[in-house]
Amino acid sequence: MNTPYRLPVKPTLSKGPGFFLGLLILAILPLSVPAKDVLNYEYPAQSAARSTVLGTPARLVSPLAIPGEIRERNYYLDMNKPELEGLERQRRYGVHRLGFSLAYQETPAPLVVSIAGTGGNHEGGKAQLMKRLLYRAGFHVLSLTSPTHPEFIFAASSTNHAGISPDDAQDLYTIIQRALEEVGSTVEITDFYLTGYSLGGLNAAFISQLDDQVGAIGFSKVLLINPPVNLLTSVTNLTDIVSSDEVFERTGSHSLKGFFDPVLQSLADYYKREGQLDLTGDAMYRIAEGVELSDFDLRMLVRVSFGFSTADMVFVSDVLNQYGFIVPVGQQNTLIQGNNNIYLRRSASWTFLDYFRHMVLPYWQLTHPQATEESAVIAWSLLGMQEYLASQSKIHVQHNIDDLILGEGDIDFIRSTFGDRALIYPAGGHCGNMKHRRNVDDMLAFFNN
Amino acid sequence: MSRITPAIFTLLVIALGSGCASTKTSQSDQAIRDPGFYEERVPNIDFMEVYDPWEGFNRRAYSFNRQFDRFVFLPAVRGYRAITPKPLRTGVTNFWRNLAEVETVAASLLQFKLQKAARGTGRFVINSTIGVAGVFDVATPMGVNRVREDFGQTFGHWGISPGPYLVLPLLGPSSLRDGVGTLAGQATSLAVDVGGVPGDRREKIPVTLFYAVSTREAIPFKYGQLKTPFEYEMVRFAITEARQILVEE
Repeated sequence: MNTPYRLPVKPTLSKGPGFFLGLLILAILPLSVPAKDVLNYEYPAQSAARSTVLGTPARLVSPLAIPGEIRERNYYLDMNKPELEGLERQRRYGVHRLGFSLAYQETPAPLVVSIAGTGGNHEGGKAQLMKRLLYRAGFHVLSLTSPTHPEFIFAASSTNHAGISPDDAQDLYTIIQRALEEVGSTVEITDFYLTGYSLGGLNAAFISQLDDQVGAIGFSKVLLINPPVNLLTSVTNLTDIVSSDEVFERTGSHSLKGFFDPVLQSLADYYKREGQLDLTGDAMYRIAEGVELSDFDLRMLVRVSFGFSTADMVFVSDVLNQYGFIVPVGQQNTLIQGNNNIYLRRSASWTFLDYFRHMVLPYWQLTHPQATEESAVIAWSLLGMQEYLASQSKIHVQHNIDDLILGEGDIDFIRSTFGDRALIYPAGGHCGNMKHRRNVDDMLAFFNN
Repeated sequence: MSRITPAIFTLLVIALGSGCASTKTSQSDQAIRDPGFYEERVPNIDFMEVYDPWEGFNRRAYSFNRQFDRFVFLPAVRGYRAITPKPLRTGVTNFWRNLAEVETVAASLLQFKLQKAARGTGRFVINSTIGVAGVFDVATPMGVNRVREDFGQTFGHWGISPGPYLVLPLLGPSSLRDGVGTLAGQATSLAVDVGGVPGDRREKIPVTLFYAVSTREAIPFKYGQLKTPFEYEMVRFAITEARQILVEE
């Protein structure tokens, strides 16, 4: 599904003062400068799904990406949401506070605020990667959980919904300021930078715009890594990456069990070896590294992982807003009791598009009665902020030509909007090259110069 | 898998106040709003179903474990880490693991897995002597790698189904079958006398507490780590599947 976006505004040329003004605009606007396509890029020739799940081969990984200890500290913010007070047993979920982490230098340095992607938390694999890379390059790093993460929605979302970019940006902006207060004198900050990958990249663009209006922080460099251009295209691509007909054809049933078998086998191998289970957040992806997976399996992995993220969002929004789609209204306090999977089953049958149509959009329409599906999508996507993005030399973007979350024309939007502030890589799928030597060098070059 | 003596286990069940009676849950699902696709959508997570008739109790126990972990275990682990260097903690973990070899040997023999039994015996003898009562794992560098078999697997091997899913207070997720296996395993390691510490003395409370804390220290799982409101379901599914695969081989 593709919403057409407005073409870049070309200045009208006419004789007289307007002509010179036109020339001037032409000279200033970066529209005429072509995006930089990254040439001589070494990366396996493989499907976007494979790149997305398996990431960069070890030989191409930046030495800065290798796991190891860094100097960091965890914090928890209590945003004192009134909705949670009524939710008697919320503490049992352990999600009434929002965690964030700070990697810090002992000397003065710029601070980079880094925002996780869809369903990601500040301790997740890619968030940790960003923290490690930037910390080792000499920056302080404030790592934040995505507004789509259940903990964020529970503890910090002012709307109790995820995906409304302007509102999510407002929440994140408040949290960044609270976090900076909390961090206090731990660090000496010389400048403020901002970055995010995947949906976090979109969040970063909205935060930058808000910051320009409010001026509470003053981010001077912003880097968007693999951001969605059209939110609806992105979620539709991730949902439709496998069709239920294809699942039936391959596995003989509509169950996802067939897919899970190889993954479970390697989970059991680990259990056998170590005598305990490893169920860390990125377990699904990490476990997949040890198994031979077909392209179909990989696409299923993307689909299932996105599906569970969506189920989490649906469930949390249902409980907080008392929608009654998942949990009967008035029974929010009995969640601790048995329910035979019924809440999970219900939640898992929702796609992100359902979430958008049945919860998020109706909520948005309460305050924006004129809003339609199309207008909301544009208002919440990069599409709706083209003029801002085109005019801001501080905002750069790194993207991949084969990114799963882009639709037709999206990469052209990136090229025409950002001009030479866009670096386009010829491979990598969705965020599958974030630890590639070349990508890391390019990112650090941007923040260092 | 952490273990604890039956006496303390019983105490905790009583302390929980719910006993083993299954808690009936009220399901007034008539009140649910249908977004319009609940009927037609193919339920695709049926495979995640686990036989869990004691879910009410289990969720309470899970919640109790979470709180206990947060307010007792983890602070104790932090204290333990603060006062002991890593090599010492490794030695302690090795010591307990060495005792567990007894269960591995017994469980392997009962399944006629003779190779595993021999390996477990070899490790136990080597580590209990050269390895100073099991504090050093010298068998692994000698090429005798650690294997693990337990009584739950043994029951499964002989066709006993896992039975209802069971969250044991303090010990964590299990099943009726594996829970019984755990207690039996505990009894076997208490039956041996290693490094001049007779089994019955290890039943003493301070030793048990030390055992519990040092064992918890070596387990990487943290409650809330999965960061999903469906953590109970996810853990239940993962544990059940992993146990099933272990029994089947």
